[in-house]
Amino acid sequence: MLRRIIPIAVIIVGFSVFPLVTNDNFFQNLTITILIFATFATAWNIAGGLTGLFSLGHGVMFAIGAYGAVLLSRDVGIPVLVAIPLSAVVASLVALLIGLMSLRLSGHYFALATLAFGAIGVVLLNNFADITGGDEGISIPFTPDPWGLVFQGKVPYLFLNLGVYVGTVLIFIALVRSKWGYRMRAIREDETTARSMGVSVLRTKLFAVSLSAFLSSIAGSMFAFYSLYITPENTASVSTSLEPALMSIIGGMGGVFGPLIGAILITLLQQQVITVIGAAVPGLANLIYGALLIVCILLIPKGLLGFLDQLRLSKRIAKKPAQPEEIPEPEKDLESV
Amino acid sequence: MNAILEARGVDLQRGGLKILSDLNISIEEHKVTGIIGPNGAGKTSLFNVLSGFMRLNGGDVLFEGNSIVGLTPETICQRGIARTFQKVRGYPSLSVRENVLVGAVNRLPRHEAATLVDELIDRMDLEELADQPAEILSVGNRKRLEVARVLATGAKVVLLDEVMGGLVPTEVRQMMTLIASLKQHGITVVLIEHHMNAVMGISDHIYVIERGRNLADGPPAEIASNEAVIAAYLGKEYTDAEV
Repeated sequence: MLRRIIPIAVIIVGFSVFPLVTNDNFFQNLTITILIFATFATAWNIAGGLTGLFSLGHGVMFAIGAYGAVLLSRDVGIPVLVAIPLSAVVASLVALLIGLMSLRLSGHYFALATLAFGAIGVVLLNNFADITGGDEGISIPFTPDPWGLVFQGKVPYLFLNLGVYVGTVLIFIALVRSKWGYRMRAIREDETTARSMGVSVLRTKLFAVSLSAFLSSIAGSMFAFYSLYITPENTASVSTSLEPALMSIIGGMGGVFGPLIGAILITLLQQQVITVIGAAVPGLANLIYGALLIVCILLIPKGLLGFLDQLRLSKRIAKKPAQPEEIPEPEKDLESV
Repeated sequence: MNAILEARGVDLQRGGLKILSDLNISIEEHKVTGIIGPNGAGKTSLFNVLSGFMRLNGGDVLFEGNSIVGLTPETICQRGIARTFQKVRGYPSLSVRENVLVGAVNRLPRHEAATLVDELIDRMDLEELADQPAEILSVGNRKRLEVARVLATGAKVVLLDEVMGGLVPTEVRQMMTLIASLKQHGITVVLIEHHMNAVMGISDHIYVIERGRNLADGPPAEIASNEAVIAAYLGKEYTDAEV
């Protein structure tokens, strides 16, 4: 248990002390972005890392959170703090629906199906322009109101998103240790064996995608009220869908803190690409992600955290003295026919 | 006779191939039943039918008197039939303990599951490896882990598919003792095995299958001297050697 509590304490203290040390807008912005996407990637990881459902359509869940919370509060008049969980429930239901259609597929086929649902999400957002603002998206007016989650400075956003991230991580940890967590990991490792051991595969997968969608939607809402500008491109697009997957792969899928490590690396990389290259070469950022992904899959297939874990394990094994193996005597009468 | 699991006139067909034809078996409760036959006879397919992984084309499978045809493998397992796989499966990156926990935690409260798993790991002689990932286990340990996983599901009937394949003689003996002990724990065992001495030694009843059909069945001694079985499967050397 201590193994889990210490990193959480370090994260809370680290991210809390940070705004006190630096007043720099750039760094604060970077930290908030990391936390939002770490939440998103941790949520994705419930389906992708824990259950082995490699979704490439999570942008839709992120968009439901972003658009849902904004539209429900702006157009329907529901308080923001109610609109956010309400959108998350909608995202869960949508995930259940998509799940029922796609969860009988496995591996690449499931990934492709979710990619298609992601594309459908973008088309819907673009074409229901009366409600969603089409491809121009929605600008949320900057009128600071703590209950509307629009704040004057960046520090409240930082603590809000730190809270949401830590909450998501605690849910993830509780899940891993629960019977659902065991079922999910069993399915990820070997679906046939899981079924033979009485694990209800479809029910477990549906639970995984709906919980993952719920939390992804909350990350989407956080993104909307922080960036104050949402479009189909920055919420539902394929590149948004790819981000949590990429972050989890690079940081380490299946683990608790892999997505955070991935979110830190990818967000820093994004900023570097923008700062150094700017928009001079369009598409270059994607090229760099692609290259990074290939390098990671080839060199550290279990992600950065998985790699460190393996290093630790091999050191531990190296320390143990080798034990002579027992050599059984051959017995002819037990030979197989 | 008290049959807990019965296959009645089972037909199984895939493509143009008849895998099982009018196959009948009756598994007695708290006994060890061996299933033998040449490679390709349909033994594993029979397990696939009994555990719900393959839909049969005709006949019926009864468990505790009720038909289980059409049920999913997970439901059949929840009712009380669990199986191992000929080619060892499992959860490679989970620890040995977690591999076993999956079956236990799926049906029991956490603390009860943990106690059961500790007991099973102890019984299977896997304590030292409990926290190691299953992928590093040797064949012998993997086979015992398979048995532990199956027992964690709380099954009344366990279908063991060649759990002695690839084992060294000492491990075969250990596995035989283990299977015999299952009977004492009130578990019914169905065993597919090519280790003739092992299967003859621990089975109470043996079914011989050839080309998807019943060839013979009876107590081990009777099977060992059955002319048809010798011709189809055992070979003359076996009977000359002993039994």
